[in-house]
Amino acid sequence: MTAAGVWLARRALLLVLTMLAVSFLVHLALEANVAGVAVKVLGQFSTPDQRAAWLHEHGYDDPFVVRYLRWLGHFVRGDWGRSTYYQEDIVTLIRPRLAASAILAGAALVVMVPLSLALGIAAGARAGSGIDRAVSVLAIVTTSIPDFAAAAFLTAIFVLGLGWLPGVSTMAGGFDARELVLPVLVLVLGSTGYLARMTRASMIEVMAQPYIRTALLKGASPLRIIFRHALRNALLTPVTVIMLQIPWILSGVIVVEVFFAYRGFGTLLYQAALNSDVYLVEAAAMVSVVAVVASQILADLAYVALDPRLRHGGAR
Amino acid sequence: MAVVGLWVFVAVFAPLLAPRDPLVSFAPLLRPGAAGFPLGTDLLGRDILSRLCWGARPVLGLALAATLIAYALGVTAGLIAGYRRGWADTLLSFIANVILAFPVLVLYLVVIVALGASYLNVIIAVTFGSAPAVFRIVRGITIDIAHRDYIAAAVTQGEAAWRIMAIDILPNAAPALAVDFCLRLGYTAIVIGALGFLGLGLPPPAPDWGGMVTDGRALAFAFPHLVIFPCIAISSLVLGLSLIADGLRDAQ
Amino acid sequence: MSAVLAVRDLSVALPPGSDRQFAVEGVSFDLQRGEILCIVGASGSGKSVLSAAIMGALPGRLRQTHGSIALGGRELTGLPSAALRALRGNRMALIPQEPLAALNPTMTIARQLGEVFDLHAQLPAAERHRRVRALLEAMHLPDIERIARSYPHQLSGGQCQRICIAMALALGPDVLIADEPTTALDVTTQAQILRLIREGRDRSGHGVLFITHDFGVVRDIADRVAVMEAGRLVEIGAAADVLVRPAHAYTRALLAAVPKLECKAPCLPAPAAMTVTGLTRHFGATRALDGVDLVLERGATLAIVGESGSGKSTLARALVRIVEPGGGSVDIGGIDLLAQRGPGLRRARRQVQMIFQDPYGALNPRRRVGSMIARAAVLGGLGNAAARDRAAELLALVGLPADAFDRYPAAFSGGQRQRIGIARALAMNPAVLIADESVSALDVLVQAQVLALLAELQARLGVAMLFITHDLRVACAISDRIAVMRRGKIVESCDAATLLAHPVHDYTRALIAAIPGQ
Repeated sequence: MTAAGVWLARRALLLVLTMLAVSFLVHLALEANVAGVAVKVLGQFSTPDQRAAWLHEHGYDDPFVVRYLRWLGHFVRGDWGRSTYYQEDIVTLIRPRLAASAILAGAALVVMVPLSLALGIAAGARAGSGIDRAVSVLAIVTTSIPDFAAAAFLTAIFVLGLGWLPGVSTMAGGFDARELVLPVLVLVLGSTGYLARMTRASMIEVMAQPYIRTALLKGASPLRIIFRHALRNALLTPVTVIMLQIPWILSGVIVVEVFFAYRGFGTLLYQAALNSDVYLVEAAAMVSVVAVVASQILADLAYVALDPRLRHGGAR
Repeated sequence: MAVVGLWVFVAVFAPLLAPRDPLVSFAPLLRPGAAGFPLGTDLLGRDILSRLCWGARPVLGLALAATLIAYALGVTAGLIAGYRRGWADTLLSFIANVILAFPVLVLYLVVIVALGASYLNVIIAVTFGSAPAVFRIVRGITIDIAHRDYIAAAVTQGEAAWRIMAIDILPNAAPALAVDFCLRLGYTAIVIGALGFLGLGLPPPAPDWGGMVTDGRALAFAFPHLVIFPCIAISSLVLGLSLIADGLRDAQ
Repeated sequence: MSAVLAVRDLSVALPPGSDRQFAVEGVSFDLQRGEILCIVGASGSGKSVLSAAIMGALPGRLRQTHGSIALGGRELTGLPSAALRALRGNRMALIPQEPLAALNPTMTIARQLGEVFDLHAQLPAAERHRRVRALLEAMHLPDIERIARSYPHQLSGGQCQRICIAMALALGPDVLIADEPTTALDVTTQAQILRLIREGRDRSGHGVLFITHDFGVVRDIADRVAVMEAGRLVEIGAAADVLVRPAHAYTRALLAAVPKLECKAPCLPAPAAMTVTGLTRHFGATRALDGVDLVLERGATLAIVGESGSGKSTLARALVRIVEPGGGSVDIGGIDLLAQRGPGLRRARRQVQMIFQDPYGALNPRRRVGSMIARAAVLGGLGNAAARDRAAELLALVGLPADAFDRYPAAFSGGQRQRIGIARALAMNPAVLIADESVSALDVLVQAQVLALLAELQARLGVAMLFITHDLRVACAISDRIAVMRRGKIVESCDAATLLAHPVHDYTRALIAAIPGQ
């Protein structure tokens, strides 16, 4: 196996272990307190007898580890239980919501990534120039505004002030792209700044390298230097940063969905938490973690693919 | 810097500054500029300016507490993992990765379902979320510094490991950590605001900037001031912190 | 013969706040066709700025304030950037100091070489392919196809430098500027590269401006020599003249500081201060140390000479247990350092201390000098007050002013920092000092001073010294015995004079032959 292959295999093993640990922690947090589970499922007004009966019936008399393994077994086989709040099978509940959130996050990424990279590269290539300062200021300001505040400001401008866009995005009348605009805009605004700054920093570092000077001394033009030499090397870090932004975007998705009443995964999780819907929260938490872990794997893959130093070994 | 100073000042002296008791109702839904209520009142008639002033306290207090604890944990763990390496590093890094696998809000939602909502749990959840990130940064810096020759020199002199970490490594990591601290403080303030917005932060009557946004949202069409002022408050606080961080970074 | 490069009264200003006004001041010289002109000077003398100015590639903060640079009769100053770009890499080219860093890590060698042709000569792909292969062959590189497809990190330093030379010579420039091209290379590789450069000049007849700080290299390769000090050209002339009858005082000082290949008189045998037996250390499959034996006598200096990869640095670090050896023993004063633990180890460590290579990495930038040395003394068993006195005493011993005690390392130059490092190492009164390439990062003048200091300290304190270096000349100047190391083993070891006169091992012979300027 190649050096890169070994490294990836070890990373994959690590991620599997992480997932197991996560599942254990989630289950521990939510179902260790058996009495609490009963209360949450049956409601506050249930009697102790009802709870005891229910617990016994659902196998809660067994020790924690046994329950955990049983639950894990169900989970990996796709049986995620029933939501107490929505009274529905969780898998069928989550699927369309997940798709909806994927559309939202996907649209945000599609806009954010090229934008941030372009801004970062332009700023880094000409460090200290007007563009650089403008990008830096923009980045600081946008990262300082929380998602819900940005949502509020944008709503004030576009909905209340100018009346161009709808204020809520429930998609009540079927799919309407205009209803996506504001949520996506908020998400983009929230993450562009950070990525642009990372890209800028990476670009500045690359431009200071000796091999850029070599290209200059060979007689290459500034544009050629940026695009042919600097770019590939400068993008190594930002690409992995993009993948690692996904947890942040997921948090933002929750806030944005709640603000705009978008029927996605975020609002589902939110409702579940508000209503102490244990099983739904468990399942949703697991799904979120899977998304994050998957993005880490993607980041690793991207790094290997882009950096020849990782693909082939060192000097003879 | 001035902005942050302003908010800290407000938070500390809120009881003296706020013109009125933030919990008492006066006249509902007054617009800004109405007599005696420079920023208007909210749905229940409470003075927005006062609520903003009082609201600064939990935000700053919780953010500071959470970040400090996260730093205490993260720096200790990061130094040990970065300097000692070996099984301590593997274990600590694994724990950090497990926690970092949760998006912050998801982590908090799990905590709230498990433990319920309160000041303490907010701190716990947010600390939980920040400590691994601090750990990673400190570990990275420590590994970097540990390669320097002056660390090797200390080893050859028989210097104890903890002294090396405290006296040789930490002061050299301090500038980068100072920048991160300010940024993290801001980030934590944002998260606390988001929690308030989701209604999962502090119990109702308390003035909470995020909560004010939620409360005012339904009426935002007619009374934008309900929503705009708290948003400005939180954004300006975080902006101030970011600017400080930037200034620190440039000074290095 | 007309001058292929004519520089007249060139001055480049430094930004305000620098320690002098001009990086390069009023420099004038000619470079003739087919000649190699060596520019020598200490670091900071302006040699690199000179080469950047000629190429029209000064870093942003430096400006050429007056003077002219004429390439083949054509004035370069004030030329528009497009015209300059057309000349760079084409009619004038530069070979850099750090070959690996100078190549783009994400581009194959073939593409990087081919780019020169893309930039200046519109060639069809097949022709370019052929020319690239031809260049690699001319550089005497083995296995051309594999190298063409490789990335820079897969090649050695010497191979990367050959690639850089190939890039520079691709279009047959009139002027080749070599900016310290061999400083980062092993001495045997250096000899090969020098040969390559000479060969290139013989073949094509271009002029070579060779920047270096090593007079041995100058002796080897120069037709003419120019000496720079603080931005000014203080002497210029034929190599034979300048090297034998230097006119300027600075040149005389530089030449005097160069370590000669003359050895100390062998000293009387003395009991062993440190005995190393069978020291091993493996890194995976690599044997960094493969059973090293050596004996260091009291009051004497043993030099370990080797190239990169020989294991000499690992040896130094293993001896002080910064790196843990896999096996063997290190006996100092009857105690085996490797067998110690805990408090016993702390005590044993006091007997052997190290002086490091990089003056800028060896001192904690956030600690005051005096406190650093005092701390070492405290760890050596002294009380706080006594330690402070000792620190002050040591600072005086190494020739630093008394006020150095309260200052931070940033206030000191490279040579001064090495002195601080020496003071720190002596704080515990060790029986053995290990100097791990401690003068390699220093200028020749400063190097001579530090070597003199070390010799004086040894004479006064009677401390035994293990001196690790890659430079045989330095080894001869300071040591009684020399041990040659290769691939983790000591291949030959005897007193300096005998080693030079009658080397036994082939490798030793190769090392001696590769010394420049004999």
